[in-house]
Amino acid sequence: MNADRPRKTETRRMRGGTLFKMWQSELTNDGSHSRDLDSLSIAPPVCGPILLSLAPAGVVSWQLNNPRLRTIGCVFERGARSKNREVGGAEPGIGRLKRNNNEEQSRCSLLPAPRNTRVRPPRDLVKLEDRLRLLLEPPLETLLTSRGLRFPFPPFGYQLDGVAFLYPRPEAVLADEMGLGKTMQAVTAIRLLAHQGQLRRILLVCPKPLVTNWQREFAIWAPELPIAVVEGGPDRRQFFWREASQLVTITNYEALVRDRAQVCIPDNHYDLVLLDESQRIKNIASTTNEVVRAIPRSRSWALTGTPIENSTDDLVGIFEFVAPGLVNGQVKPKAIGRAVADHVLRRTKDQVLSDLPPKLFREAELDLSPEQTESYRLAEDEGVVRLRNLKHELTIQHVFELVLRLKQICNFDPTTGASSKLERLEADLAECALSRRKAIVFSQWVATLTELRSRLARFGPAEYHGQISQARREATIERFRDDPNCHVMLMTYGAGGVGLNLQFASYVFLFDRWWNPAVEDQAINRAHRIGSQRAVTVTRFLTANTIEQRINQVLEQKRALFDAVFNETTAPTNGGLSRDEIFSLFDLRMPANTGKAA
Amino acid sequence: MMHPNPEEQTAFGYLSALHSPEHGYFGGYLLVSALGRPLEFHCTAPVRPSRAQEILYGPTLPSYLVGEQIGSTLLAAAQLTPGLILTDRLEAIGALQPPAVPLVLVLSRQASDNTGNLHEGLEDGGASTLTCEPVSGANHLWSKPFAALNYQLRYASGSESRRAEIVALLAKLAERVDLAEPFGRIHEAIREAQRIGGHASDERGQAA
Repeated sequence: MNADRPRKTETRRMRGGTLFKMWQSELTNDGSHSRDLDSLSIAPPVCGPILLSLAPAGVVSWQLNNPRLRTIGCVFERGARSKNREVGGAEPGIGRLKRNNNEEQSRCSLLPAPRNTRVRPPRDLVKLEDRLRLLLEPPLETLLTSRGLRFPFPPFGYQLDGVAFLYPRPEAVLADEMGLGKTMQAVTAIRLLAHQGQLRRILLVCPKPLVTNWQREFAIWAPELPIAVVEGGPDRRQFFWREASQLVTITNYEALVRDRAQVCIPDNHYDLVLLDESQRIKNIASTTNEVVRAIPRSRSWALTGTPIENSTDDLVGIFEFVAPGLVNGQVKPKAIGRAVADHVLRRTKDQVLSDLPPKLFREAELDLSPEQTESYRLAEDEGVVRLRNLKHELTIQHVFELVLRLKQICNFDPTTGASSKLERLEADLAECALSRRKAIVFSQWVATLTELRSRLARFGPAEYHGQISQARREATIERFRDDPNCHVMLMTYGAGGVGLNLQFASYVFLFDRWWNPAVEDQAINRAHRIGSQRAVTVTRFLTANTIEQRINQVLEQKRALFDAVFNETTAPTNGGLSRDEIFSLFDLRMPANTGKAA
Repeated sequence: MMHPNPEEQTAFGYLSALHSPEHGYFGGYLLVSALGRPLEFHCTAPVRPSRAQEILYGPTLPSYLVGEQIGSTLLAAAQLTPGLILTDRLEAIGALQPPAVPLVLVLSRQASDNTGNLHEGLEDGGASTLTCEPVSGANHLWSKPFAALNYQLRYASGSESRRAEIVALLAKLAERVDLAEPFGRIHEAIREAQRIGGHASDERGQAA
């Protein structure tokens, strides 16, 4: 009985279309119809019976009855207009869009390879007429060309698949690996839906450093779409929220939270809210998560290359915005993977970019210099003793402080400045400079980068981190790209981790390790992305027999967790960095009254 | 400058059918604009002949079912009148007798024979048991194949005088649409309707 219930619901929901008329007719011999809205089910097979009769003269004659053949059908809105001779060029919504000029159009190219990318209905779309409407849509290439929508560069086939994924879905997470062009896919899907009049008001939320990048991407892939950026002081932003009538409004997470009173009100409805780098809302208890969930909207899309950074709770946080209640963190990773499968599209470069230059990993496992070793042992011994003495007052912050202290010593000896990592880095950079290649060095500390800057002066280092103003950052990128004497860019994971296109760099050095692999992957993919002409060599520094090695083991567990959700491989049930694990880095036991999870 | 959409006043009909050993024949009829966008769609319940009919109709049974029964029923159900009807089924010739609207048979890009092997190269994917197998019996009712717009085409016998009109209409459609592509849409829609309809039937059966 239980198994029947969903089917009954499905049947009820199938009755009565809203987008177009649907009827079931029985066609009789003379061609007349009788309409019957009661059921859309396919009837049992029919064919006319054969009637035999015996004539008076004893001759057997026969007559075939024509069958009463049932049909189901639908007339689309477009078809109804056509029938009433109301067809015309412009569809709803198109009149609001800017027009390209002729020159621009002539510089653009139409779609590349002859390919039929079909739009498929989402699994949870239950009304037959809605499913048929999508199934009967022409291929994406035809939809685009029929509206004269052109691209500056031919998109990859997998990018069109991504557009076809987003197009019919009100709830979607595009979770492609960094560098595959999530931005372009989202912009193109928005463009198509906007031209069809399905989107008239869109809110795009992204990290502040990426606002410019989004503006640039819209200018490239959808130059006719009008955009407003909400920025500046409170008065200016308030004016924007009140007055902006552009199709797309772009804002950053911080401004959105500050302006929640203007945004999260019932009559401020958006046809689409798109979150870029949606891992920003992974914490379901955060204010940012609360605010984005409160925005009135019809469609909820999220873009992220790292849907899981620490634990499956991250995905739950994103889905509370995308499809509230669809997943919870209590179930096993594989079950979560199944629950979200139709809402998440995840591709990796290995899967879709066979022609992208390879990404080569080198584990540079180094011994500490003698000076570093002495400092490290001293700090660890003293630190552990101090932690043990704290007993019940011991908190996770105390442990973190020691971890950070030891990691810093792994970078540089605090007394002498000795660094085995730097020695190795200098050697590698010398080779890099000789071959006229560019390199990016990532660290989690500005102080480390500052030290590197002075010691790597001969390589003309550029810097990109939190202490570099937004205004200077673009110039820094240009210098790194264009100055032949600038061989290395020094970046923090936080500032340079997302949204930057640095595919002209061939080497990436992770001078120290971040807490989760997703952030490291984002950093690496600044260089290894579409447009890369050469292989990208990633060197991960790791000092032997130190805290870095122990942390690395945790990172590997987290990679396994990600695979368990998205790649259906077996993996530990929880690869997150729990408090237990943090304490166990020093063979400490967690005090009884502390909770779980970092 | 954004091109305004071309007028969509000419509708094009696409008529196709799939065969299921279990259920019989399913028909589908899709009307599209010159841009390939759907205007109207109809599909039939499955049609399965009795054993007696198989004997009496012999090799002409598929033509009778697909053309006279399914095809004519679908064309009558449609509200829009197309300027041209395309089919991938040789047997669909009986759908329009006499042909008021030009009927064109679209052969595959590869096929160049005139034996009625229509479907090589046409997409008909999916794991369904529904197939689009060609049958014999109606071959002589079509013109000889001619090449146009990347396809081998045939039109219904008797339409020779309208060949120029037919080719002009096809050329208009082919500006934006791969001539054979909409058949794949019909097949998917038939399968979808059968899948969902099957669920509903199951439910009703169990309830009874």
